[in-house]
Amino acid sequence: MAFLLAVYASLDDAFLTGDPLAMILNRLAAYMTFSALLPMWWVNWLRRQRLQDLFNEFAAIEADFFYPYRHLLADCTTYDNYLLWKGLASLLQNLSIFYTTTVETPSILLIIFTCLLTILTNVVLLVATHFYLVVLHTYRLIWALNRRLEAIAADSIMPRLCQRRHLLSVEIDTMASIYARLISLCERYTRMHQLHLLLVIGSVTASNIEVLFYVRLLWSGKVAERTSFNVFATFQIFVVNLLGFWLTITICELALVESRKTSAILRGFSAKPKLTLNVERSLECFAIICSSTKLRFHICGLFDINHLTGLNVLSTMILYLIYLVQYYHDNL
Amino acid sequence: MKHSNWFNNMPYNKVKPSAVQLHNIGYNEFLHRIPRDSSIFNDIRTTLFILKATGLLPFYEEISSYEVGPPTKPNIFYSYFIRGVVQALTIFNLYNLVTSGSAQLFSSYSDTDNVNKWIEFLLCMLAHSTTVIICARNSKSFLKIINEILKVDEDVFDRFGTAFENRCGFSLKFIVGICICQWYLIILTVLEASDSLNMNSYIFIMFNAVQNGMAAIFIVFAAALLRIVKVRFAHLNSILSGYTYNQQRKQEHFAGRERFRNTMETFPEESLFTYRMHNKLLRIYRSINDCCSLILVAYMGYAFYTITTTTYKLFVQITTQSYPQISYNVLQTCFTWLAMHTCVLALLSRSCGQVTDEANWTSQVLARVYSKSKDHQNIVDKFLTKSVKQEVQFTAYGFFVIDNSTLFKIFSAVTTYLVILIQFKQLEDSKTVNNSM
Repeated sequence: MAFLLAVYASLDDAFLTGDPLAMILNRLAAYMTFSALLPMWWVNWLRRQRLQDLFNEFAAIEADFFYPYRHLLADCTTYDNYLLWKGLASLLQNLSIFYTTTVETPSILLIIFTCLLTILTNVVLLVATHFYLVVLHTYRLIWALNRRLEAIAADSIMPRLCQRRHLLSVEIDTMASIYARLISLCERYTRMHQLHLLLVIGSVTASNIEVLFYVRLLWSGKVAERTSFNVFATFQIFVVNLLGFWLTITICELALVESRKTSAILRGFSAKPKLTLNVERSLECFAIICSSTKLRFHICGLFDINHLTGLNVLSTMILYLIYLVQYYHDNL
Repeated sequence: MKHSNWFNNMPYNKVKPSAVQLHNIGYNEFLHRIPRDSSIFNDIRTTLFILKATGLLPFYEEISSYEVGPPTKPNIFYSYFIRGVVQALTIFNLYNLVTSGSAQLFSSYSDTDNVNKWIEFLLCMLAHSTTVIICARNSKSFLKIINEILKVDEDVFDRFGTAFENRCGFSLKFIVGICICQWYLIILTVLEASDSLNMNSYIFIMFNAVQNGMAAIFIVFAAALLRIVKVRFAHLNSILSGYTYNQQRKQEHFAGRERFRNTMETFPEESLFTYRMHNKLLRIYRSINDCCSLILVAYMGYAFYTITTTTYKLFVQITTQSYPQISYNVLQTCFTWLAMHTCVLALLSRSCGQVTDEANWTSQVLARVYSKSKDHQNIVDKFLTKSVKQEVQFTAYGFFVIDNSTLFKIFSAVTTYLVILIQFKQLEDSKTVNNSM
C-alpha cells in the first residue's frame, strides 16, 4: 500500500490538466482515500465475530417466522432489481478504474499500479456492498412481513380464521417481536458499518467535487488537449461514483418507507368492529412498538442515511464546485 | 361481516339522525337527498379536460356517477398519439438548443447569462418530459385515485346524505392566469428579438411556452386533488368533533328544546365508519404522493432555478450602470416569471400543508372525545395507539417535506444563490477590467 501511495503521489496530475490547484486537490483526495483504507481493514478484522452473530441472527429470524412465507420472499421483485443494479454499479466501477490504462502507451508500472489499485478499491467497495446487501435483506423481510399483515387485515373476518382466533393473536405477537428484532438488528449492523460508510461517503463526495472541477477546467479551454474523449473520460468517473452512492442512499430510503407502511397497515385494523380482546391487545402492542422504535440508519451520531441526506450531499457537491470555481476564477 | 354490519345499520341512521348530523347538515339535508352528478367532476372538469386533451391523463369512461372506467381503445390511441407528438417536439427543441438553431434567442446577454438561460430551457424540458412520462406510467393509478375518492363520496352520501362542497374554483383561475402569463411572455420574447426570427425559433418559443404551461397546470391539478382530499378529511373531523364536550354544550345552547340526552349512543358505529373513511383517505393521500412525487421534484427544481436566475436578472437590470435607461421589456419578463412560479409554488405548498394538517388533526379531536365517557374509551384507544407519533407527511420523493414552510425555505435558498451569482458577476467584471488594462 505504501508503494501504491508513492506511485500515486508521483503521478500527481492524473488528468494532465497542468494546473497547480488541481494537483493539490488530487493529492489530497488520494491521501484521504488511502488513509481511509487502513482503519477500514482494521475495524473489519476486529469485528469478524460480530459479523458472524449478525448472519446467525438473520438466519434465526428467517427460520422463526418466514419459513411458511418463502413464496412471499421470492416474490419481492424490488429485491432482485436492486441486486442487479448493484452488480451493474460494481462492474462499472471496476471498468472505470481500468479506463485509465487505455492511454496510447501504457507502461508496465501503470498496469501493475492499476491492478493493485483495483484490488484495494474492491476491498472498500465490498465492505460498502456488504452494508447494501444487509439493508436490502432487511427491506425484503419487512416487505414480506407487511404483505402477511395486509393479508390478515384483508381477511380476518373469514370463517377459516374465525376458528383460529387465538392463533391469530399469537401470530401478531410473533410479528411484533420479529419487527422489533429486525430494528435492533438494523441498529447493530449500522453501528458496525458506520465508520466505513462515513469514510466511503466522504471520499466519494471529495472525489466527485474534484472530478466536477476537472470537467470545468477542461471546459474552460486552458488545458492543452481538450477532446470530447477526455471530457467523457473524466465525467464518467462522476457518473459511476454517483450511481454507487445513490444506490446506497435509495435502498436505505426504501427500507425506511417500507417500515413506515407497517404502521399504516396496522391503522387499517382500527376500523374493524369484530376482533377478540386478545387480538386487539396484540395489535395495540404492535402499534406501540412501531411508534416507539423506528427504523433509522444513524451514522456516527452525525446524520441519518435517507433521501434528505442524499440531496444535501448533492447540493454540497454543487456548492463546493461553485466555491472552487470562484476561488480560482482568475485562471479560468 | 363488517361491511354488511354497517349496511344494516343504515336505515336506522336515516330515520333518526344523531344530533351531530342535524347540527352539521342543518337545512340542507333534504336538498341533497337525490344523488346528483358527482361533485368532484363539476369542480375539476375543466382541469381534467385540459390534462386529458394534452395526453397527460387518459380519456376515461364515466360508468356511473360514482365510478369511472378504463378508457376505450380509440381514446388510448389518441393519448399515445398526443404523447408521441409532444415527445417528438421535445426532441426537436432539444436539437435546436444543442445546435445553433436557436442561437437567435441568446443574443443580448453576457456569457454567464446565456449559460443560465440555456440551463433554464433544459430544466423546463426535463420538468415537462418527467410530467408526461410519469403520467403515462401512472395513468391507471390516477384512475384508481379518482375511483377511490368517488367511493368515499358514495359511502359518505349513503351514510349522511351529504355531498361535499369542494371549492376548487381556484384551479380554473390559476389555469387562466398561467395561460395569460405564457402568452404575455411569448409576445415579450418576440418583441425583444432584434432581427426577425426564423421558423425554428418561433416553434421553439411556442413549444417552450406549452411545456411551461403544462408543467404548471399539472401542479394545479395536483393541488386541486389535494384540496378535494382535504375537504373530506375536514368533514370527518367535524363529525368527530361533534362528540367533544364543547360542541355538545354549544348544541344544547342553540337547539334549546331538542335535547339529546344520550348523544354518545351513536358514537361506536359512527367512529368505526370514520376510522374506515380516514384510512381510505390516508391511502388516497399516500397514493397521490407516490404518483406525483417525482413530477413535483422536477417542477420544484425547475421553478427554483428560474426564480433564482430571474431575480438575478432583475438585480442586474436595476443596478446596471452601462445602459442609460432600464429596459422595461426585461423588467416585465422578470416580473411575469416571478409571479407565475411563486403563485404556483405557493398554491402547492399551501394545499399540501392544509391536507397534512387536517389528516393529523383527527387524533387531536379524538383525544378530546376520550375524556367524555368511560364506555367508549377503548374505541378511541384503538385509533389513538395507532396514530400517536405516526404523523403523515407529504414528501417530494423523500427529499423534503412539502408544507407551508417550503415556500420560505425555497426563498432563503434563492437568496443564498443570488448572493453567489452576484459575486460571480463582480469577479467577471473585475476580470474584464483587468484584461482591458
